Amino acid sequence: MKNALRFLAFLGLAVLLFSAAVADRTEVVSVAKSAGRAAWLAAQGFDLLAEHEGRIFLAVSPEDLARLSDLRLPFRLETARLRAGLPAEPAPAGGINGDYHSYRELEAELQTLARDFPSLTKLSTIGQSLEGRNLYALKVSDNAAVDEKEPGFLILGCHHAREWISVEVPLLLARYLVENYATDAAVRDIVNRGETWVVPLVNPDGLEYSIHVYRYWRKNRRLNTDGSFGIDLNRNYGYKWGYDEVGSSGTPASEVYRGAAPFSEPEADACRRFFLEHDFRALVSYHSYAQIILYPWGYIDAPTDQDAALAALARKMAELMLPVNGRLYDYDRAAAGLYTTNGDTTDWAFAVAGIPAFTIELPPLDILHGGFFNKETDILPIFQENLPALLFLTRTAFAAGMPGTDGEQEARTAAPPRRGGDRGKD
Amino acid sequence: MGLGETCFALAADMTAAFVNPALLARLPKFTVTLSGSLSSAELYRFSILNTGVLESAGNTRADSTALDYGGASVRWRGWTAGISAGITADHGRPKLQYDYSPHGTLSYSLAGDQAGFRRTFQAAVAREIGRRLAVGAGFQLSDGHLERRVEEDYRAAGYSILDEKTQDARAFFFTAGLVWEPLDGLRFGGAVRTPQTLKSTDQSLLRYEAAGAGSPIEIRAEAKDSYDEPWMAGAGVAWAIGSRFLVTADAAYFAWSKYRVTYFDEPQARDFRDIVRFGAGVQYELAASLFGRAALVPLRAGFVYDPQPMDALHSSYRLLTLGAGLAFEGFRLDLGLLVGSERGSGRDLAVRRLALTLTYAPAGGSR
Repeated sequence: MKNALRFLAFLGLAVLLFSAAVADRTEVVSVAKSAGRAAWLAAQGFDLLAEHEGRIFLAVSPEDLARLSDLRLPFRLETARLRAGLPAEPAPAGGINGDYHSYRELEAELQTLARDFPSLTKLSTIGQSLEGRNLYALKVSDNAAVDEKEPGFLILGCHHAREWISVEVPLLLARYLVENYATDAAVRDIVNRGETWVVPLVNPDGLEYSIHVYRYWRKNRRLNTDGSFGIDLNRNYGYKWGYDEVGSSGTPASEVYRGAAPFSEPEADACRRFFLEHDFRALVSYHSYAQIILYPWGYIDAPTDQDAALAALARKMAELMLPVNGRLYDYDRAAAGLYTTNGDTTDWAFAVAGIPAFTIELPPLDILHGGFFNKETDILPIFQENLPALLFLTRTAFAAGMPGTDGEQEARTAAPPRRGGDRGKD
Repeated sequence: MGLGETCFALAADMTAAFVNPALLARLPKFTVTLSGSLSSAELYRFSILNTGVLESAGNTRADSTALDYGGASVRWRGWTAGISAGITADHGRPKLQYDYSPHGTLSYSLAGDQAGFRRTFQAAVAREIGRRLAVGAGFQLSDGHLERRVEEDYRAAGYSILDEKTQDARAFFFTAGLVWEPLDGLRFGGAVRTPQTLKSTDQSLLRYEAAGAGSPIEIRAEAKDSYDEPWMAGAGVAWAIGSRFLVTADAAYFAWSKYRVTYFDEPQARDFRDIVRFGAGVQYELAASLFGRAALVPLRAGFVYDPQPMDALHSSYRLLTLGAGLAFEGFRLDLGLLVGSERGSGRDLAVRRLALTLTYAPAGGSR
């Protein structure tokens, strides 16, 4: 475990070095480990990063590379493997909320993607919000216009209005897939094998209120019978809805008010109908903040019958995220890792379909490092660190038979460290 | 104001020329007008109040006192020209403050504040065409400022959030009108106002600050936006019955369904309907003596029906107006009172306004 931690931390550092020093052409290479070789390399002035699985990882300049060649020391270039493929720099969305997308900006970008990549995308409206805004779903697949009965992967964003970053990650994933389809064989394989569905904005009314009136708004914009506003869409799903008064609330003014009935809200009901109409093999619902990957159950602190498989997938995702920016995502059962939630998306999806369903709480770690605020310059890095995890989960979801498949085997290969300590409430 | 805010066919002073510039031709040869008001309007929902964050037990009240209108007109060889300036909208709202202080120590506070105004400058000219007809046209330039600030201080947790938005707007539009008197004592008036696009420069700042988190996280934005305000047309009648009585009535059509708003580069939904506003009033003029000289004391009463444009919630204001004046030696002092409430929203929003207008017209009475 300690070695894995050191390795991942050093790889994270390596990627940071790479990112920061592209102009210096810094590369990460590995050489076979042998007795005394690490000490010898250090004595030669090489910058050692980590030792892992029989290899020594180094950060090297072009001059260092030449020296390695002169020393006739076989090395393997690792930079490309470590570095996630980057999407095109996202165009600033502009408008009142800076680079973040408002409803209209998102709508325009989804329409642009659908127009620019007609064979790879299909833009659908899965329903409308209370105030009449469209709930968009973008399908990314080869022959997207055709229903090829392929396995699906569903990525949801922004159940909670103030979690602006949760719109951006799903949207950037869609962009990444279509923009890299032609040049990246791994992306092409994913797009050809299944349907990736992105619903970046489940709560458009709430988002608009958060943008225009009150930044910390969380719920949708239902006018409740007592004059208060809003129902927590992530407490409005049908499985164990209203299980107790801790994981949700029956008080309309509460931040976690679950509504008068399961799926009473058009936004949650649209997600329900959409989910049931498709053969989804995995689901990720993005939220912020806490930097943690959560899996069922949320309504009680108890494992599901797939706990080991879910934990393995979450662990693998966390492992893939860490090297990109050096950010450690914790992972746990939702009720144990954050707090109990009843009527949430992932409990419901897991309960009705038995599929891996994750809530990923994006950075920052806590309220004192921004809480629901992320710097505009952090949008792309947060996406980049989520990308390898999403690609992994997509590949796994599209593999036959989930869980217990090749994907699960892949998930069991390494374990990133777990974080301790308290976390803020999202 | 005391005459049910009727203003298409009758000008008590320069204010009517804001709506129908032809009425300039029916004012005395030279006038100067100054007006101030006390206003009190009840509100239920605005900004964060009763929309999701702060809740009030009942309506809140916005009070204002302003010297809100001034103008002058002069007639020369059948032409009458006038200039004026007025505050035509007050965007100010009651300040909001919520403090949470368990055990006597401030743990959390939320403050909301909105202030702003819109003022309009007018230049107008009117011309008599024969004895019974007059026409007029006006150019109006309007500018405004609005700033809104919501600040939260999570003092116990150690961070704060600021949401600040400002808008500076400008628009221009034209008015045109006519006045026709088919009979002595009977006058019809009509006017139109062109659509106007209020163009605004907007700025937004969102700031998160925590002492332990290094530099603040700021999201800044700027935009140039627009408010397409619709055209308006209206007509009215004023009928003098004998030498003492005057009856007036107005109807004005506002094409609010064409209202369009772009806010920070994005079109905003405004589900508005067209509306027709009615007003009617009656005046009785008493002859009096002051310091041994003749004076007139007009007494007025009126009614206004003012439907609101929101289509989802049909509501309207029903307003009663009362007025009294004193015309003496070229001076005219008018006091108007408007009281009423709104019906339809379930909130019975009350509105009250008291206006005092002083007009100096040394060259003779109105026509």
